[in-house]
Amino acid sequence: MDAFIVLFQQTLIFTIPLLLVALGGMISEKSGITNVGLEGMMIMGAAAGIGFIHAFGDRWSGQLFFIVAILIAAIVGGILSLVHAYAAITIGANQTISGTALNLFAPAFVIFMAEALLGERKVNFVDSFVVDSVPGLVSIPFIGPVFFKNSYLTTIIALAILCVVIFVLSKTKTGLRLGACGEHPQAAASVGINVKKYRYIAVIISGMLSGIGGIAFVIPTSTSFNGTVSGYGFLALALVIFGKWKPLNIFAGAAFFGFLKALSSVYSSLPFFGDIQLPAEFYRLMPYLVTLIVLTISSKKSEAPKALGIPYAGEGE
Amino acid sequence: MHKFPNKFIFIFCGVIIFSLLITGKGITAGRRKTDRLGADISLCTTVAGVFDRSYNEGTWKAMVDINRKYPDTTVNYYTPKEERESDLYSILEIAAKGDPKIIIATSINFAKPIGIVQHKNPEINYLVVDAVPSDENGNDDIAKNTLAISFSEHESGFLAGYAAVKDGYRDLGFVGGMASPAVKRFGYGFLYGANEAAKDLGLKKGAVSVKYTYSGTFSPSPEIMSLATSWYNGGTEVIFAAAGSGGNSVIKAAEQCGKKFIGVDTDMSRESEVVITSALKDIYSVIDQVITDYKEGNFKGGIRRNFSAKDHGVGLPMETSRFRTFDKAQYDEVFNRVVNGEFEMNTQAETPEEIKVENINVKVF
Repeated sequence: MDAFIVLFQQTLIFTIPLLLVALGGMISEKSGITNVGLEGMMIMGAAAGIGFIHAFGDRWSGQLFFIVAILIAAIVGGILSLVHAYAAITIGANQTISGTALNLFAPAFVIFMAEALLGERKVNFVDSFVVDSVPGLVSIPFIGPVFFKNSYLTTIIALAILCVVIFVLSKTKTGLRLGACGEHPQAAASVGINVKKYRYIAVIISGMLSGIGGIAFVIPTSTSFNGTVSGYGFLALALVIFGKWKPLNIFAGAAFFGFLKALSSVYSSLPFFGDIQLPAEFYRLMPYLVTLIVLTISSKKSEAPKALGIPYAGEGE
Repeated sequence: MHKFPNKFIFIFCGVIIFSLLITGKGITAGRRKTDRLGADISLCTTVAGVFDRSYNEGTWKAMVDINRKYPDTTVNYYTPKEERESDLYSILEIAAKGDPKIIIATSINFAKPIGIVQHKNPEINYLVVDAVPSDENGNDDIAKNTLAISFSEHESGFLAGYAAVKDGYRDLGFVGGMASPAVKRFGYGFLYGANEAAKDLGLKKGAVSVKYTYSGTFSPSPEIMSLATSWYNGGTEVIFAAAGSGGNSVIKAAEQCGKKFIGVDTDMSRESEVVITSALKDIYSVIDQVITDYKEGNFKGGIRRNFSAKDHGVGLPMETSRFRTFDKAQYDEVFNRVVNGEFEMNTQAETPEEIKVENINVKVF
């Protein structure tokens, strides 16, 4: 039983950053802007947050400090996304190019800054943010140890953001207007919606969520940050398609993928999987293989926003 | 739309030039006391750079101290942006343009690039650590001007495994980065060491068990962290990770689970309190020794040189280790037995299953 609790705990470690970043990607794409730069925004966000933790970690610790670091990660992710937003919305440039530029820029910039400021190519940090156990809640069978033992605040934040996104997109005027901007911007504009404003907001939110996703990715899994998030930004991009631009589907997809990733890492200590002698490569291949198959089967009918990736020039231009 | 293209081109050129400038900084030349572009001794590192708190840093420290000892001998280093053979080849070529006397390269990935440049620049001496230069077909090819250095990693791993079991740990783990010859030697030695300690302590078979796997990467990753967490939760007390900075993810898991960690290559004790010891390869003294030989005119190329416990090339850093009972006297005893060649180890085995260890249980994943 313990081994299975570890399996689900580890599932969260993979799922939470993917969920955050994929939600960001989805919001941006809902408004009609492809955001290939998620990976770059994750890296910059993580770098800013971890740089902050590195700088003040010897003086401060605890959850409040973590929240400030998360906010800094979000703000820096948001600022970086402005570059993409300006290129894609104001200038009407090719959206793939500016996203790719960010992906090239971010890791190089982070390593450069780390070497210039700290003299090494990674940023070490002290992790004082793990919550050993939440009193009361931890005694709930199964759910308790999975969510409330050795957990991070980012888990709760991510789930809260998921709820907010679901609510805003389906129940509020703002959410429906955002969707309209991605489906048919001209029609949206004809009824007085400021398409460019909505698109700007969507891209900035995607940058902020990516920044949070970046720090949620690095903090639980290492003791240093070396300017990479191992391609999780691209995985998140795939998850947006996998989840058909619907937040709950994306959550399910992230959890499913996270579960397979966790299984491929911890199978050796599980009762059944550890005993059947399959090569380790098989388990490592599984998440990607299953994703490919599911994508092939499910993508017959694409539900992408109709105006996705098409620059909108606005009225009278 | 149409009134924007100029601005658009301007901004994108700006962004791209800026990022190129910054990535271009990936090739760093740290010059000391010299006006010319190159130096007498050039180091070509792996992507981690010279301040990786590990292998490259040890090499660079040795070079800086050489420069202190012989101020007329200048040193510098070059760091590639990525670790593809083409990148490594190009930094070797850049280093050669600086007209150095010795070029040092420290990674198995340099095998083929060095195989090419050693013939192209016969006037430069190459010192390649952990790799044997090879030709296009992968056959060993050490030119007259090249010295290939290897370590007896299995002896270092042996000492780590022996010390861990002697110190009271019974449930051990080994996480290698990839199944490269050096990583395998570490792992096999670890098994032999644990086995020998179990025999010395008169433990029953099954009292000591070792989990053994390769993670597939040398960088920190959630995969390694999850793997280590599951092992620690399953009862593993200490994990020996020969996985470069992937070890940081194992340290993370050890910190969360309140378990222990054994480092690799260099003394990793300052990374975390959970590091009980490190299986060293003393790159510092090896580089120092070889360059001093060169200075005295004794540099001999065209051969492999192996550094073992006998040459003090491998060992454990007992001053900074955090053992419970295992002390210097016990260490010296087993160290001398290793030096005397008391333990026969098969380092050529393809898989860990071929390692014959009767006194412990080994489970390979």
